[in-house]
Amino acid sequence: MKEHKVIQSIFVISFTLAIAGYTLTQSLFRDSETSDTGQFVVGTLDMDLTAENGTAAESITVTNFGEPGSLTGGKTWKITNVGTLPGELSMSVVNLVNNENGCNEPEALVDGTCENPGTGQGELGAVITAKVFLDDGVHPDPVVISTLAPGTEGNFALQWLTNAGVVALPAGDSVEIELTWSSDVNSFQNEIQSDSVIFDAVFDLEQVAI
Amino acid sequence: MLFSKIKQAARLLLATAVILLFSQVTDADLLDREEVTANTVRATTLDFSNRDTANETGKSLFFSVQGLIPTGFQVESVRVKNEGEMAVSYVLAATQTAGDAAFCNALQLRVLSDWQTEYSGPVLGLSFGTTMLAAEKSDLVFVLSLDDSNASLTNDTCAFNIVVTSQGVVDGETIRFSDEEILQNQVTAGTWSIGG
Repeated sequence: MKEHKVIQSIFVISFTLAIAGYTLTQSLFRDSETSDTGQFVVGTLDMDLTAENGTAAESITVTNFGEPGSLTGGKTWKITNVGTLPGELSMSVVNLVNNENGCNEPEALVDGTCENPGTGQGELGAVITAKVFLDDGVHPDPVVISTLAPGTEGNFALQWLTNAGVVALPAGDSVEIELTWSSDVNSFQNEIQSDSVIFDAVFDLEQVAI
Repeated sequence: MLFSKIKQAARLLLATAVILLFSQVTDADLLDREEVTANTVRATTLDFSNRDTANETGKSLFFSVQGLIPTGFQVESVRVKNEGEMAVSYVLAATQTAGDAAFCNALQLRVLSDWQTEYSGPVLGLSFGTTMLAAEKSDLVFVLSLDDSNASLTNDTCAFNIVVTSQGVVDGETIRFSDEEILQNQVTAGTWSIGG
């Protein structure tokens, strides 16, 4: 019982001393300065895709391939870095689909696959050569040359990487990318009638690694 | 034992962290992506058919004449219908497939389009061409006759095809799509006597 009293006394004394010590040892002089101009700003990476003349970018739409004058063509897109950070530009093709779209009588005589839509059965993409030109003043030749046959979509990203490498696009700069298509008139006959090839062109602007 | 396993896991974690750090795989770089979707190139179509002018059912059997005599004639018609999306320029030609050459050469043919005579001459010399725009059709009337009364032609036969073929070159431009339709003909001469 006596021991308990002693412990209680020691605890009370210690607590009192701690309070008194904290109060007495506080520094009474104090100063503080606030810098209200310091800020962290996150840069922006933003790309604008338009047509050559600045109007909205349009997809390639050809519906009369095979008619005179229809075997070649091209589409130019303008990429502008409208952000505040420099970026690295790359291009690829995805969702490449060759459709058969059925067969009319002349095609049915020479084509054994006539399903509609017949995804992957179309022969059109194999007779079209697509080329990608990069108007950056450095690459006068096509950076990509590939047919649009099934399974060739990987060629675009691969050849871009190999032939164009890192395409720097500083903030505010623009570059034009042209995709052309062409076909040798002797490379096809009725087997491509009504066939179609559909694909997405993808442009990536990635922040330059620091 | 447990301590050893913990040490091993820690080493693995450290190594992975170092690899990821230097490979920059885990860099949180900013990326913007733009897509031009559904780019489409589609081939057009070239196709035509021979049809009956009365009901547009398919037609491949044409003249079938028995006992044709001098001054005799027979009339047939066909509707050539453009079933494709592009304009078709086609030509007509005739080829003998069986029978007597002399009789085949003696047969005469007249072809009318819009009631205008477009060809008149020997069957085997047939040559006529025209152009149909998409969805158009051309109605042709054929008059087959025998003017030659030479007795050597009696009971002769002639089988020939009238071949409708799309042209491969139009205005200097090559057209790789093609179609061909055939009208089959069978003619047998009758009997007659000279001065009879």
